[in-house]
Amino acid sequence: MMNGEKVIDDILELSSDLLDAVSFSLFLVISNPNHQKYVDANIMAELVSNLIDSMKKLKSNQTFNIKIHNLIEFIDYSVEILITVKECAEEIGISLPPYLNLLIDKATKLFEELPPHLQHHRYNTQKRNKTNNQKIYIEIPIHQISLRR
Amino acid sequence: MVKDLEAKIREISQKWEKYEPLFEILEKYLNQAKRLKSDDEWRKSYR
Repeated sequence: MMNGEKVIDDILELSSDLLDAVSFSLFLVISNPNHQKYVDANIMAELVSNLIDSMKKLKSNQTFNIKIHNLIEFIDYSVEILITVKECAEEIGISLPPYLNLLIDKATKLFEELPPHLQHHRYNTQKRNKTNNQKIYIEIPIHQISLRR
Repeated sequence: MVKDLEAKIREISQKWEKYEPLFEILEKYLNQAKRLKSDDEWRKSYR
């Protein structure tokens, strides 16, 4: 088991790296014209919404412990997005940098070493396996989508 | 030590602010794609 300070340091470092990695890889895949055949809008919309919510919670005025919980939640969603995006990238034929795999491995190891009271945040993979049979690929012309606020 | 960690959390929050508008557009795009995909009317007009 890792000691408390080391866990928190690792969580903070990983969150920052994951934020860059998720942004980069997600936008690389979505900006590819073939992404609509491979990105499951149902799962990806949920993951992105949850990721945004976890970051919004982090910015709100919470206690330090709750912030750490929120960061773990953020890591959880980020890893899930990275794994999903990696699968899509492989199907589309895009090469993503190898450091993404290192980040996924690092997060997986961190989750395994988390103290028990923080482990309950790790639930995405199980949830995703349940929804895997209900994929809704986007497959719609981009001009049909309005992004106006 | 807690002050250091609070500062690091603030750094991450600031980094997030840079990416937030992009993620919000992406969220909107994915939700619209989901809605349009399941809309029968739209399917007909697409064909």
